Amino acid sequence: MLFPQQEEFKFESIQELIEYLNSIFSSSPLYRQEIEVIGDVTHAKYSKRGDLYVELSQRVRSSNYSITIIFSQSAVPYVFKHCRIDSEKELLNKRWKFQGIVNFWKREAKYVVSGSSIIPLGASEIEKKKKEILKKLEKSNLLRKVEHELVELDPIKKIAVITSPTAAGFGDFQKNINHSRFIPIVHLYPAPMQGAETVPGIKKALFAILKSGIDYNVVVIIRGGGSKSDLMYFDDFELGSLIAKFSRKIPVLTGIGHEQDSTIPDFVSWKNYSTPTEVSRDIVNQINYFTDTLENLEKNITYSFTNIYSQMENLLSFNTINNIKYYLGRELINLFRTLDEDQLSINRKINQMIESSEKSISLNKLVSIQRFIEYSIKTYNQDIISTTNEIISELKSKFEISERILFSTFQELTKSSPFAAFLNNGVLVKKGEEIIDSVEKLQRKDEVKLIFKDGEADSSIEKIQKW
Amino acid sequence: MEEIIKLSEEEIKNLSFKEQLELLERINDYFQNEKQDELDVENALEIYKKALDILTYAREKLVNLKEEKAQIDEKYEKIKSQLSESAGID
Repeated sequence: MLFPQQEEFKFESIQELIEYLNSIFSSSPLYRQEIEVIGDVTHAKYSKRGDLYVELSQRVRSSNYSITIIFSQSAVPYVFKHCRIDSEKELLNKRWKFQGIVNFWKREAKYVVSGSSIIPLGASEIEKKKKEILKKLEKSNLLRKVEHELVELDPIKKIAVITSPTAAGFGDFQKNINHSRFIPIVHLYPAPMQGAETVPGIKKALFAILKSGIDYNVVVIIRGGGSKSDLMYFDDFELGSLIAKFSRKIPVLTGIGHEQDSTIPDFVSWKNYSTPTEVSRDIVNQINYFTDTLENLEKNITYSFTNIYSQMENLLSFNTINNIKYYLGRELINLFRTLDEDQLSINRKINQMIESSEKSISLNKLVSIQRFIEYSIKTYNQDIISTTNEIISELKSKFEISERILFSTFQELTKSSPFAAFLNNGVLVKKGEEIIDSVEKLQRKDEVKLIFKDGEADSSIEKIQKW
Repeated sequence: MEEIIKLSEEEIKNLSFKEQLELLERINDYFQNEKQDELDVENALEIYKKALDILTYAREKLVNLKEEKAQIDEKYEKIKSQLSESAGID
């Protein structure tokens, strides 16, 4: 035979095919050999058994490559200690070197690596790329600067949703939206939410929304479930720039990532959420809040006005007016009657007084009254003058007597004091600290101090003579 | 309140939902806080009429009217068919 006959691969069962694939792997040089691989961690999670599953991803042009590395429960603490981390979350979005052995999982016909160690290499390519895009967007002034709330917008009643129609996230979104008091219009603009078609798909959907001419209140971009490694397709400058510019026309809400992950659209959208459910919940809250506010205002205004109106109605009722009219009329008649009577009696009294005054007052009587008053004033004047003189002379004599009593009292009080001479303008004699009040206390040649009212003098005793 | 009374229907219609809410809140405050014996009933009636107008237009902003919904859905169906056509060409 010129050419070897091509082998025919016909398998009776899946098991047979997988066993064949396994035999190829088992006979390859890779089998049971330790390998090293460098990659960015996009996912790290523990299984129910406590083994750690780490997903490595790499994007090459439009394709995404990923592989799972498994660390057994018992190996995890040593591996973490070796690469100086405390939790699996620290592995995320960073570049690491992994060592381990490749295994073929027959049940899933899948290659996995049984990891033995992790060596740190620094920031991941994905993260680096994301940072570069963010920097570029910031330079172009396209990053969101203010955190918005949905109540800033008019009530949401028209929503354009960009997502994959088959995604579970869209179902959750629609289900939740139905909880709003007034259900908004939800239009789906389908776009692939994973793989290389993500960006062109979203772009196409955004342009279709603009072209529709429908004044949507918000555009929602959601992605529910799916592999975390697919998130990297959203990290695109063109997409970020388009969403940022679109948000200036119609606010774009995003619910793309998971709680720990943020993609470029999350930084440029009008508002971002972790999940599609969160987006729908916030929209429902906004609609319900506005509905409640409007209904409460309507209720309050109607109640207040009805109250005012019924009070006024009561006041203005026919019977009330008639009653008021009757009582007012009666009161007025009574008042007028009293006024007339009062006026008459006052007039009468005044006339009487005038008449009697005219009768009693004559010129002679006035002159005699004048004389009497003049005489009385004169008499009072004389009385006042004589009484004043008496008081003055009495005060003078009392003052003199008091002065004399005061002087003699002073003399009496001071006569036995050693200061008596001093108080009577004399001299106080001191020998040392002793006050000398008798010549018997002195001897010739004693040195004494003479104290006057206005000063003092030193003296010596020359001669002593007793009375 | 005078400026609210002077508002035309067209002006009310053109207000944003939040502006309409603000006017309703002002009217509510007026009815709640103004001393009832000092209220001019005719004026109050005018304000109440305006409140009803504002409420009508505010509710329109909250609810999709049947006619409006039909028009929007029609527009959407049109763009949707264009989208699926272009997807077919792609």
